[in-house]
Amino acid sequence: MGISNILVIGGGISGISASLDLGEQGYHVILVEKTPSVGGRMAQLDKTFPTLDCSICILAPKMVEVARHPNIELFTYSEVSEISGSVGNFKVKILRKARYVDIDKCTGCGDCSEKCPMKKIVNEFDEGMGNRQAVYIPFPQAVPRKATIDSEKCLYLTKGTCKLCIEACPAEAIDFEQKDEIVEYDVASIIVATGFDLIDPSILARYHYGEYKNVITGMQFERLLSASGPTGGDILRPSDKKHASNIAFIACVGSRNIDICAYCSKFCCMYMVKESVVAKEHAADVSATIFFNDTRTIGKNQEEFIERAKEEYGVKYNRGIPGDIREDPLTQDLIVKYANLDTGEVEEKIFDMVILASAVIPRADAEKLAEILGIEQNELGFFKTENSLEDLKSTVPGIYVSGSCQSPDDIANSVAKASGAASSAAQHAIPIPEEEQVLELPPLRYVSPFDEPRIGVFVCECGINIGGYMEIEEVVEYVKTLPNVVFVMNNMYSCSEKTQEILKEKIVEENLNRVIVAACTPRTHEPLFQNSLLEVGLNPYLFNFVSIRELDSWVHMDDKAKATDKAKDLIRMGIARARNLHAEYKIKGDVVREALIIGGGISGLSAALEIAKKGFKVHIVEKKDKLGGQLNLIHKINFDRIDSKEFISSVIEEIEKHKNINVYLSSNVVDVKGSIGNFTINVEDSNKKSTEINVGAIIVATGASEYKPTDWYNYGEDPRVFTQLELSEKLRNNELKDGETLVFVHCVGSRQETGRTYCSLICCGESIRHALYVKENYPKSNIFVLYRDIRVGTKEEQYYWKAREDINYIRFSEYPDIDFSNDKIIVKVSDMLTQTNLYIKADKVILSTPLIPDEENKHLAELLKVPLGQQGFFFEAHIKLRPIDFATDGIFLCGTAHGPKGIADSISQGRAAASHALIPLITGVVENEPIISHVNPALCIGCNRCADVCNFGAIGVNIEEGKIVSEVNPLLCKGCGDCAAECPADAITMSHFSNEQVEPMIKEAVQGNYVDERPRIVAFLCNWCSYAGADTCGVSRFQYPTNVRPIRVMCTGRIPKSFILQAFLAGADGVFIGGCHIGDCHYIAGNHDTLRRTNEIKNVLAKLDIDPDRFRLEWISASEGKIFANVMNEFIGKIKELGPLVSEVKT
Amino acid sequence: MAKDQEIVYSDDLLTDLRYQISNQIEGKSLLACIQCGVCSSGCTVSQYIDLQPHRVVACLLLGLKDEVLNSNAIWYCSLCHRCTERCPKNVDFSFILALVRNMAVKEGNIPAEYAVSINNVLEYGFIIPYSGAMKKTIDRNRAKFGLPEIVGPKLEELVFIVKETGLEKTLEDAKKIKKKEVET
Repeated sequence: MGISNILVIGGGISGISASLDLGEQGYHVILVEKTPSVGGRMAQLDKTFPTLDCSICILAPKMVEVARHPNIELFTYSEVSEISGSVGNFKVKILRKARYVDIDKCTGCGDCSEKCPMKKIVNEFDEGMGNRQAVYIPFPQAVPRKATIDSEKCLYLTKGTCKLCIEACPAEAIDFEQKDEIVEYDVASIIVATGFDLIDPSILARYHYGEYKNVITGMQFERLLSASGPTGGDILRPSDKKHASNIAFIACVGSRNIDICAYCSKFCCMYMVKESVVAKEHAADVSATIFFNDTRTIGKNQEEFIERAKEEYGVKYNRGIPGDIREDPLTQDLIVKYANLDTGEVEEKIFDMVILASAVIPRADAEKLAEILGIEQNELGFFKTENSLEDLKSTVPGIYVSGSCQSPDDIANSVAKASGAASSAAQHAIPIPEEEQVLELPPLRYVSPFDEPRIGVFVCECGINIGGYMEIEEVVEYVKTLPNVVFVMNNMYSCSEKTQEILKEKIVEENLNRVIVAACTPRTHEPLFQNSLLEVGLNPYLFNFVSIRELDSWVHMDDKAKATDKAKDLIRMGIARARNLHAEYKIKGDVVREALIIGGGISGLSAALEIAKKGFKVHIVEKKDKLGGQLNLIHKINFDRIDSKEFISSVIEEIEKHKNINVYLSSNVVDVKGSIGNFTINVEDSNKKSTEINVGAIIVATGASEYKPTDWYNYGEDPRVFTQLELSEKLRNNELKDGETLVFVHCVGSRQETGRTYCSLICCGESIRHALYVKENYPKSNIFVLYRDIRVGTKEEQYYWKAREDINYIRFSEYPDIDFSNDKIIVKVSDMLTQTNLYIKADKVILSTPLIPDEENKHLAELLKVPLGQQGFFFEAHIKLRPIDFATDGIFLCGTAHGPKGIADSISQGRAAASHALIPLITGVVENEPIISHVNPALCIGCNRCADVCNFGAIGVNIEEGKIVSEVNPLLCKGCGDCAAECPADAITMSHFSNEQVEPMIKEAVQGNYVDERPRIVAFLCNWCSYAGADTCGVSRFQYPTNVRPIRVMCTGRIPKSFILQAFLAGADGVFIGGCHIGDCHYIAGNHDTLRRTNEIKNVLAKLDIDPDRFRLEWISASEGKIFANVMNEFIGKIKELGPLVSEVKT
Repeated sequence: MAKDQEIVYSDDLLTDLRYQISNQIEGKSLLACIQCGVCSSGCTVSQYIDLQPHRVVACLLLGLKDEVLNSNAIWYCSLCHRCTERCPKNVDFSFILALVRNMAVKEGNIPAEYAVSINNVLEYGFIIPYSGAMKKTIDRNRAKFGLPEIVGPKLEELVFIVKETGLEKTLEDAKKIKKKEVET
């Protein structure tokens, strides 16, 4: 009999993600966190790059979820003290340190901290920038939100006096008798996700950290920027608490240093630019200068973020790292001396504050933990894995590593690796048997549609993200005056566990039967609040989310009064809908316990193996006639020079031998029907023979390929010019001549101003690998590498160093001119480093070109109804926290189909996608949202127009069976509402988005009598694209006027002509509809029907003497935040031009 | 391409210049440079020199010998070692410059001030002659603190060392090269 327990060490984002995956799959997780709260480094961050998501906002729901998950047992303030046994059966001892607080009694009210006389203890969470007490809750969103007594600082525990906290605690939770405790578990496997430390930068005396007060670390600055940090989000410099407007960032403080950290810390470059942009957003007068050597991007959309920071935010970049900071003793200003590599000269500049990007180092206790676990550390001190292809398996079977404890990594990669580690760790365990699973939810309270609505409204301040841009008190007072509202309150963070508790309390206390939260966006936070409703027995569909951050405070940052008015309107609209919400019940469906993997490259194959090993059938569809993808083309992998052919053959052999795996070669997916749990896929081979496959989950692993730069440097015409991948082939076949001059040109077709703006991430490493290989095997060759920035991974840095020893590195800012007219090629380049114009006589020119997405992605995206990003790579559900998911349930993403990445990352992502696909396969059940259509047979006239517009065959009149009215299949209905809009008899109700729920919103949208009453525009936005685009617009802080009142619908197909007319009738000056691009509709073609209906409406409007320009339909995708803002600006401008509607309607 | 910059053909690059230095004791560190610019920003004479330390290194690595030998940087360096101390890759720039100076001397490239200094040392045992009014001032000041007079090195020993190490010949060769250059 197997064991269901899996141990996760470390409660940062990586540990949390791994735990949630395993919990969802049905394993019992023991999550051990050293500090009093989960959250780790990410909880300390203000924002995340490159989308500037509020870090705690996206993390907090996960922290709350991990604490309340029935399959996860959380041990905070605890450490693993001993481990014995081996894979499949480890015996673990966990030391639960005495908190001296009974966490079952503690309510987290904080009264104890207020009474505690020890108020000057350095607060670790604020990186020493603030103070805490001896009895403390580390930060506002802490989970669990329970007090802890610091035994080293507590007066009673050190000197035997005081005990003030005992008096202060109304819950009698303080317990000085508490002792350390050892808990023991048998676990099948272990995931280590202990994260990283940062070096104390005082080791580099020249920056005077710790001596000059205004020199701080990046992490400290992160706390300064945070609304819940020591300055409340104001950028005040430590020496005199004055606003700092001129800020310098210094890169590589300790990193890329042979004596301190002989590696690249990887994510500092990105957080420096993020902090610059955020600082600029906090205060417009901020000027930020980043001193760097190479900017290093490590993931998707990051290169574009840097360029945007330069262009839109005016962030200055200086190539060259300062060697000196001096302080003006009178002003405490800092004089920074630096080399400017662009000019070759040395300059000086004065700054208010200097921020050091201190090196990422292994955790101080990494060695101790390695010893306890028996795992090895690598030469850098991070936990070791087998080779450069493996990021997850430690040196002990059954122990996996994830996140930055293995190698410094950003959040997205840490999350992906966590899922990968979860999937691998689960291989050794069995899911909790069904009879042992307990459901702790209370039964749902019956809420009759005839009960008087009792509405509770919770308004979130989100730190200053909302509270800073509108008058919250005014909003609250206003909402109190609205009918049916019986309770209103505002919260610093509505998503915190504390507020969740209050929310639940108030539902019971005030007998609420409708709940409204006005906060960020339903797209990320609705499930969290719905869960809270469930926990107190209230149907989650009696909840209504009102977005006042993405749709209000973040897009109207410079007009507090109007943003406040808009919030009132939005909440009033929400209340209008809430009055008519009904209790709905989820529909359960069975799962076909098989998976489809599209693409037989290394990422897809890694995913396939994980799923097959768990005992489920896997179908791999590969369009080529063999498996292996790009690895078939590569000669040697990474710097440990693993033979690519050998490696991929061994994987393919394992695949082919596995009884659970079916491979379809030379085949394509031609049709996809169904949804999570039950997809029907049609696969066609090269002979047009088709096979139907039924699966519960789909993984997209279509990969990417090297760009062939036909419009660059005579490529394709002159045989002396070829790409790095083609060089790889020549190296394999020993085709080079010794003694030749080779010129490598980087960034050919990547990091462009337009078109391929992205950095392909892997080309620098490939170039270095090839340069070293050529030099070794053709020692007389002369190599010139023409580069912009060298971007290599943490451990790869040392190979870059090695390459520089014998190879000429030429740094350019303008692409070289290459003259092919002679025997010898002449490469003309301006070298920044020596400040000379160099004419290189070369024999061969090798171009580093980016990975580009598969051309067939577009077709596949249409079949699967999943989005593509602007560059043609697949667009994940969330760039940081859901890198391997699509917004659509049941479809997952991995490898280079997601964006350029290395082989180890592709393997980890493949396993990660498997982990998510395994959730429905293991549990065997999916729950479908009850957002479906209902037909009222009394009204149905049997015209069957509903069947014509339904793309899922879910509705219609079954005349063959003798039916005369339409019927709905609840399992097939996807909830777009197209049929409800089409029905001429009003016989179809789209639950949760019914006429009686939407129409009151339309009316309220044009009511409010405020500062800027006119023009007023009603905007219907589809959940998947335009509403998401409006969210992206908000997250990116693209500003537009306040005149728009958005209404969310699942699909634009839901919008009948009557909605538009009603809006005008109620007094709207303009009506906007935003949906998915044609072809991208989440419901296949709902937007086609929208297009038809809106074409008709234009004529109607003209007849009513309403200028048809007052109506606008646009297709805006989830990634097109900028376009959303542009369209809003334009449309509002147009309506302003037309003036109020009243002026033109003839009565 | 930047217009005001000189054009250099790769044929004219001295491809083994980097090894000429790295093959010597303490010169190996030259190859470690990753061009971060820290050395230049730590330099105490940066405002006086026409080629900043990081560029000196870049030129040495690429094989631009004349650029380096013709710059004043190699002679203005005060050997304070701040560059070496700051370098994240332990490139010992001060020492490399000493090697470059040797290289320059071998080619007859000795600034006049340096030639005078060498003569002073051989003649008086000091770079600045310890005699006349200068000696009086120094002695008086030293006496205030109860310090003895400075005793110079044994000149014959110095001359012996200069001869035995080949410095004398190098200096003479340098003079000859210089003379030839002047004549032609």
